[in-house]
Amino acid sequence: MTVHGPDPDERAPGRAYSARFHWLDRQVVADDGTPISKVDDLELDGRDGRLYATAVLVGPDALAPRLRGRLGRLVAAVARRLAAAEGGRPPRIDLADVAAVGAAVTLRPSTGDLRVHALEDWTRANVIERIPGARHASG
Amino acid sequence: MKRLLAVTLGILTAIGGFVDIGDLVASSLVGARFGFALVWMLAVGLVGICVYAEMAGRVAAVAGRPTFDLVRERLGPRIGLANLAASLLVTLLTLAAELAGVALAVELLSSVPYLLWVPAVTLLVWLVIWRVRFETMERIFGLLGLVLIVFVVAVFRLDPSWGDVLHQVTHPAVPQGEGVPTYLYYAIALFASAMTPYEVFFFSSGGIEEKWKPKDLATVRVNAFLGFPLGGLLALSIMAAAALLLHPAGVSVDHLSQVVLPTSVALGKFGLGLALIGVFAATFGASLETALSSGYTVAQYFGWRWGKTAAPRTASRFHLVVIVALLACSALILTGLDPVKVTEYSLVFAAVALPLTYLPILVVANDPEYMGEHANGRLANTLGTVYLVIVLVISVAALPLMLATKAGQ
Repeated sequence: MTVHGPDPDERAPGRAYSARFHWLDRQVVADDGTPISKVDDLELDGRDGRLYATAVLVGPDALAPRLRGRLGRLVAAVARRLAAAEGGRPPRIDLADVAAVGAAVTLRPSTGDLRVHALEDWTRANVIERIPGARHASG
Repeated sequence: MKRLLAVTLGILTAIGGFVDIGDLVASSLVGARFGFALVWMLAVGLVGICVYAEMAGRVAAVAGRPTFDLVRERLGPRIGLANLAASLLVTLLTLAAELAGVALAVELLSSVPYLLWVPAVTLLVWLVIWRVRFETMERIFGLLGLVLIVFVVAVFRLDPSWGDVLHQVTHPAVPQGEGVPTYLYYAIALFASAMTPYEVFFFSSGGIEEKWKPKDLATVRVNAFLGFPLGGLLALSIMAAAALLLHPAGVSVDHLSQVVLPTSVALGKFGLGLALIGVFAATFGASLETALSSGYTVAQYFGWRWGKTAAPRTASRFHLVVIVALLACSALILTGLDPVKVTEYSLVFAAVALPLTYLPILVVANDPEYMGEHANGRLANTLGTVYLVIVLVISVAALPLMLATKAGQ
C-alpha cells in the first residue's frame, strides 16, 4: 500500500512512502526533537477510488486493534480503564502538521498542544508534580 | 582528562554487564569450579557486546534513535511487545538482585543484615535518578567501580605461573567431576551476561541523554572499544583470582563474601576494603542502569517522552515507571529471595530474548535511509552477522540446558 505523504514530490516515483515501512510504529517528534508519540495507526480516507492517509492516530485505542488477539483485547481493556473521558476515539495528529519523514516523523514548529497526552497529564498532576523537585531538571 | 571522562558511559554500562552482583558471583563461581577453562567464552561475549554497543551507539548518534524505539519499529507492535515483556522481566529481576547486592556489600562492611539496608538503598538509587546530573552519575559510579581493579592487583600478587595459566586458557578442558552440559550451561550464562540486553538499551539511551551527534562518533567508539573491555578485564580478574585460589582449595562460591576472599588473602584488610567499595559502586551503578533501562524501554516502546536530563514533570510517565520498578523490585527482594539465584535465572531468560534485541540494531545500522554514510561497513556486518548466529544458537540452547543441568548444579 502506498500512502501519499505531506509532500509527494519529495520522493521520486518508485520510492514513495510505504505505510508499513516509513510510517507505522515510527517515533513522532516535535521540531526540537522532543518525543511526542509513536505512529500507533494511520487514519485513511477514501477519495476517487484511492486511499489517502489523513492523520496519525495515537494511543492505546489506536494500537490495540493492531496487536490483534488476546493481547489486543487486553490493551484495549486497559486503555478503556485509563481513558480520561475522551470517548473512545484515539487522539489524532493531522498530516498537515507533519514537516518531514526520516528516521522519525517530525512535526512543524507551529503545532500547538496536540492533546495526545491524557495519561501523561494525569500522571504529572497526580503523582510526579507532588514529589519535591519535579520541576527542576537534574541535567 | 576530558578524553578519559568521555568514556565513563561505556564503563558504567559495562559494569552492569560484567561485574553486577550476578556476574560477580558467576565469574567467581566459574573460576572456582572450572579454573581458566571458560575464559574463552568471556572473550567471545566481550567482542560481541563491543560490536553491538558500537552499532547501537552509532545509530543513536547519527539517527538519534535509541534501541527500543527501533525494536518496535522493525519488529512491529506484537513482537515488539513480546520483547518488551521479556526484556523488562530480565531487567527487573536484575534490578531486584542489584538492590540486594548493594545491601550485601554494606552488610559485609557494617555487619548489619542486608535486608535492613534494602529500603535505604532503594531510596538512594531513586534520589540519584531524580536529582543527580546524568554525567555526574556516570562519572561517580563508573570511576568508583574501577576500584575493582584491586582484583587485578590481587591476581599479580598471587604470582601464578603464567605459562601454566596461558596453557589452561588456550587448552580449555572440562574439569574432572563436572559434566559437559554443566560446562556449556555456564558458558551460556557468561555469554548472556556479557551481552545482556539492558546494556544496549542503557548505552544508546545514555548517548541520547548526552546529546551525541554524528560528530561524536569518535566518542561512541572510544566508549564501546575501551569501556566494555575494561568491564571485561574486571570480570576476568575476578574469575582468575578464584581460579588461582579457590579452585585448588575446592571452595565453592555461593555468596559475595567468597567472591572477595582472594583480595583479603592476597592484599590483606586494605585489599578487602577496596574490593567491598568496588562491589558497592558496581552494584549501585548496575542498579541505576537497570532502573533507568526499565523506564527507557517502556517509554520508547510507547513513544513517550523520556530521559533524566529534563525536568521530571515533562517526562512523568517515564519517571512513574522507574518509581514503580524500584518499589516492586525492593518488595520482591525483601521477601528474602536469594539475589544470586534471581540473576542466574534471569540470565537464561536474557539469552532467550537476545535475538529480538540485536536483529533490529543490525538491520537499522545497515539502512542508509537512517545512517547515510555512517551505515555499517564490511567488518561490522561480518561480525554482526556471526554474533547474530551465535546469539540465535544460544537462545535455542539456553532453556533445555538449564532444565537438563538443573541450573548448573
